Amino acid sequence: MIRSYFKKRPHLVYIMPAIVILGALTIIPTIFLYGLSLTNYELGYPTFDFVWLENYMRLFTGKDAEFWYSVSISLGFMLVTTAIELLLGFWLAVLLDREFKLKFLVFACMIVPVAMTPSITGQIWKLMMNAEYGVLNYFLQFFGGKVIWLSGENAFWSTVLVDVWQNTPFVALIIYAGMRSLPSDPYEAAAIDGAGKLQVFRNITMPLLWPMILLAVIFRAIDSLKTFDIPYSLTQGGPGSTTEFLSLHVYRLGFAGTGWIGRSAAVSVVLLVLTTVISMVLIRLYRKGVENKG
Amino acid sequence: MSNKWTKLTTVMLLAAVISACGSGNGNGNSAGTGNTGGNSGGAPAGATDTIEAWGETIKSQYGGDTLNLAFASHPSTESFQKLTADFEKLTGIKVKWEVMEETYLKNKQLLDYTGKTGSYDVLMVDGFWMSEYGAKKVVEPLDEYIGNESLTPAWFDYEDIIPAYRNGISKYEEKTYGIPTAGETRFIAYRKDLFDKYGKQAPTTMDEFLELAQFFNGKEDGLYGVSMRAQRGVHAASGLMTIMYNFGGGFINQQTGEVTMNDPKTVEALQFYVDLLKNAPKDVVSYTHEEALSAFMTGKSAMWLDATALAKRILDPASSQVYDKVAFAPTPEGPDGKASALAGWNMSISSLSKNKEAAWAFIVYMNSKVNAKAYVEGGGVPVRTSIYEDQELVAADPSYPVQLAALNDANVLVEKGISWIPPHEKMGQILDRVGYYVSAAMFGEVTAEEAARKAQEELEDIAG
Repeated sequence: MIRSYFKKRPHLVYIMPAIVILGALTIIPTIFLYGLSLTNYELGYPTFDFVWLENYMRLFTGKDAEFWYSVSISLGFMLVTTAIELLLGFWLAVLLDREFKLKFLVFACMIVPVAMTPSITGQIWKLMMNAEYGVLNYFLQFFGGKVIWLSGENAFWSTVLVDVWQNTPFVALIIYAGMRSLPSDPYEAAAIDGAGKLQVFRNITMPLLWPMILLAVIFRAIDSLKTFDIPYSLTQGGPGSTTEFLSLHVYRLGFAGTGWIGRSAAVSVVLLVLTTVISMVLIRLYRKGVENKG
Repeated sequence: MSNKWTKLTTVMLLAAVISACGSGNGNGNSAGTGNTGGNSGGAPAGATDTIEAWGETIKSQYGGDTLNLAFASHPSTESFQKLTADFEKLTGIKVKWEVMEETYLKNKQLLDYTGKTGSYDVLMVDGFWMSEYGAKKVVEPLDEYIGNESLTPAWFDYEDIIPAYRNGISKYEEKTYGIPTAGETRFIAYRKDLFDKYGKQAPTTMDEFLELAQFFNGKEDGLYGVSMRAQRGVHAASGLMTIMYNFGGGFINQQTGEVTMNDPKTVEALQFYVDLLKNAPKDVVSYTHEEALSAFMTGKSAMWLDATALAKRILDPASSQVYDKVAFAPTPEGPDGKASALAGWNMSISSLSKNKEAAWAFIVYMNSKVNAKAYVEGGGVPVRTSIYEDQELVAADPSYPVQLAALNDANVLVEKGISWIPPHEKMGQILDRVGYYVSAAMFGEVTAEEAARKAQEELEDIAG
């Protein structure tokens, strides 16, 4: 009977393993998370009570002052880093899209940040950004400057800088790959019709590249919205709460010091919803882009 | 493309399988550490009057067992590790160290307890966590062990441990949950050369302290007035506590349990702390004790107020640029008289340990009076009166007499019935929240009054 069931639905055999793994590793924990967010569970206590929506009420009535701040800087971080990385990455891709000597070396250099573990990146930049002994200020002093990189005013932008350093090459490589795979016919046609460089770029390159750009945006936007490793090792969310992104807020509430697992779960649910909504919008855009291309 | 994805998936699956195996092994090991004999629970029989005889007795009972330890990275831990080989030789008990950073350690200990895994036998517990651990029953009450002469031989000498430590950092609701291993109070280190140059005296009151900080701030190129720990969270809260009791303030009234954050005395202390740290290096809001120490050791600040346990490093020519230019002074007297910090680390037995008496044997050996000198010479932080009065050691570390004086100040609090770390089940949360608002006040986001008012609200929510 099972055999006939699968025979009628041959695709099941192929997707079953994925469903089972996803179910075990993602879906069940997520449901568990929703459950946790309705309790007042605290690390170390054997029992807990259901408090239903109290954790969410706390978030949305402004009792948890840091929450809204975290939401705003998380969204800000997402917008800023994605925009900068996209612009820089695009520019780099255009520069790369020609033949020159030592190209392989440039590629090797670009792979380094992508391959580096983000928490290590954070540690190294933390050393470099140390106001008193860091190498950045050492070089700046030749020009008479001194920047307190991780001070309250600058910590957010320093985190942006590190994220840009780490992820721009990734965006550049995606867009570069897209450029290399563009068909040559439209360009020939454009050349015959006598189109200018700007026109070629606006009317041929951009539309054809659109799906690739959106793909890069999806990756970067989702990734930077839930950024954790870099700010964790760079600033631990401080000073004050200037770099306490949502994911760090979750960590602080749940693990570092306070142990409020229930409240922390509620914040992660909000983060999950935010990420899902944003990625759905972007993926829909991406689909449209692909259809247009076809 | 699809080929690449297949490869990627395969790699990820493999990784998952491997890590699953890894944790499986870990469980296997910890299950194997259980005491196989039937002698857990019973008092060990046999001679224990000398350490060698005790070793024989322990060996006959627990030889071959393995103890798992969860410790913080700390000079005392390093010193204990140096003593481990002797312990293993003497008792035949194997010791497995797991040493990690403090925040992570607490997390791991609590998760291990919550998950009922019981992988650890001996825990290193910060005095700050003791009330919480006691209330949650993470650790075992030790009074019976201490009282039992066959378990705790006379050469251990519990009474020799400084009373402030015994009463101040290892108890919860009158029960003892830990043996103090490393203790600290806080005191001032100042630059003797600079003070002489400008004809200044070491501060004896809080007002003088602030004036001196303002005086030295910017007095020389790249010189700041003072450095202290102030990073948001526990560090800022504990920084405030360093001076708060001298103003008569407190987070909670330890007799009634009322939250006293917006008590005028506490606000005054908070305001003082904020004003004082305006004379510190600009990024002081991200300083833990490490950064505060290195700012002082590299000559960037004229004064430093932090843990006595760190004095050793200031006096070490290998790490400090100011080792020959410093002098020490106790925490200055405030409007409410003298007081001094009291904090430290304990060794405790995990309540889930399957081998509690072997764990206790380890604690007895490591913290005994007999081994105290070897422990201190290995870099450990002293907690025993006999050590502070040892002539040889005093000659090597001139800060000892000031430390003992500071510890007497700490006793003032103990006598007042106040423990420096407020004994509260939710201490971790209280410190985190207070630390957040202290940091906000320092940052200029809110005034000291405003910060105190908000902290009051949140603390009432937590404690109520």
